[in-house]
Amino acid sequence: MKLHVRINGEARELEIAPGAVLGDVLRQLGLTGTKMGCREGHCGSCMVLVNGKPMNSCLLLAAKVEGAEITTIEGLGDVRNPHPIQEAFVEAGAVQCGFCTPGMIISTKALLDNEPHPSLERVREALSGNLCRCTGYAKIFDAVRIAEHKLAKASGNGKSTRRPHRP
Amino acid sequence: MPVTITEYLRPDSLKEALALLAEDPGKNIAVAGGVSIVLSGAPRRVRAIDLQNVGLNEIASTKDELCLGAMATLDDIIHSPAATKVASGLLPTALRTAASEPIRRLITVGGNIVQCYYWATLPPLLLALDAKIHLRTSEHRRTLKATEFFAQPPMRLMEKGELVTDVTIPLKPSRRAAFEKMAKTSNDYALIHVVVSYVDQRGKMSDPRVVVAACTSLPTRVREAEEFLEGKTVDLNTAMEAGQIASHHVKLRGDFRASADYRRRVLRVMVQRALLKAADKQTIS
Ligand SMILES: Cc1cc2nc3c(=O)[nH]c(=O)nc-3n(C[C@H](O)[C@H](O)[C@H](O)COP(=O)(O)OP(=O)(O)OC[C@H]3O[C@@H](n4cnc5c(N)ncnc54)[C@H](O)[C@@H]3O)c2cc1C
Ligand code: FES
Ligand code: FES
Repeated sequence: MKLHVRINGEARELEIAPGAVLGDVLRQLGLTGTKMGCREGHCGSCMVLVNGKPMNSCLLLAAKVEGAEITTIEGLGDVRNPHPIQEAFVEAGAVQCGFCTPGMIISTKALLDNEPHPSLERVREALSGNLCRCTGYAKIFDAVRIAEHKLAKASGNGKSTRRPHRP
Repeated sequence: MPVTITEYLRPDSLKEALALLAEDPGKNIAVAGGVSIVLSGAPRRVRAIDLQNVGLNEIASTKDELCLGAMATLDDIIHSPAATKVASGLLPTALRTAASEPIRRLITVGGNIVQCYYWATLPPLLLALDAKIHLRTSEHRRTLKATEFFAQPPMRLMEKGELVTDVTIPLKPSRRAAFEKMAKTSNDYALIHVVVSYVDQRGKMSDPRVVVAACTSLPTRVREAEEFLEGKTVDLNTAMEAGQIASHHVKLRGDFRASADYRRRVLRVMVQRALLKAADKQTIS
């Protein structure tokens, strides 16, 4: 069947199997930044934005996203031109093996787009669907704070009073 | 590919969806969030009828009841001011413990209660709130009480081509309630769910509900505990005794996650805690 979507800003018409999940469709397009880890909704390494909202692309039937705007990690930035959230993850040392990182960054993007200055509780809730088996999360939460400051600075408005909770 | 979906249809109205489902009931599957359809890997070849655009997504309330459309998601309920009015915010508090935020955006009311995994979050809440489930085929409609709907695995009770259209919950201003979940990690499947509710009549319990789930195959009202609580004031002794009664009157499941004996011991304390929490008397746990 045909599927019409915008992927990272580009309109696409794709031929998909009616039962395919979105994650597989994206990876077959070469967008392998989206990982398929557990394939059952536990790890979050498959997280993508669907109309700005994070969703597990391993659970999402591709046919369900007809007409939607999909953003994958490739749509945020790359080595030459990284997104402030990607920079923040590097600066905080929040990346070890890196398998969880695209999903973590996608969830962080959705959170900070909607809530520029989230409480730690909200950060934990928003990342509750992303597992990391390496870092122990502390540096990931630091990265979210650093990203918060970078984005606030870039948009020139927010003065966050919060600091990274582990200086 | 999880299910052998041969064709994917997106009807624009409920009438059209019901007509499609009636065509060849055995060969169709209604798709709500699609979460368990993707995970279950059903072997047979089916035609998918997506319910996203058939107008069942709303959450609305009147003076007397809250109405949850079958396609409303758990996340919609959490953020709905109307849903917060039920039993001092029981629904959002409890549903926040289900899965993770992104998955709660997929899970629908209809999918959650029809699939009714034993650890599902919504079914025990609906039992404790005296909800009604509204169903429809292309031919007729019917309404079932939650106690009837969850008396057997709901899928067994549904007719071919039948859909849940919505769920209604009576609004009683003086209803108090509390929810407890026990799981190994914060977003793992529940080992035990407890929901208690009662109408507060000047400090005394009227119409109490004690519902346990996840430790039983189906969500279950414990009538013995409810009878014991009727007319009583919640205090530590009453809550302890109700916990004792509840834990001895339900058939508990044991599996690789936890033994029945372990669940019985924990259940007793959870019922006790839930009652004290509902009455705002959490001085001791
Ligand atoms: C990692 C993970 C953790 C989870 N944790 C929890 C949890 O803690 N608590 C919880 O409650 N759930 C949890 N879930 C979700 C649960 O497992 C089910 O998958 C989910 O409730 C299914 O909802 P759905 O809307 O996706 O239904 P679907 O998968 O679309 O449908 C399920 C079944 O119901 C039928 N159906 C759907 N809607 C209707 C309707 N309106 N009328 C008639 N039939 C219908 C479908 O045909 C299908 O047979 C979790 C899921 C995952 C992946
Ligand atoms: S691959 Fe989707 S949650 Fe693990
Ligand atoms: S960095 Fe290895 S899983 Fe997170």
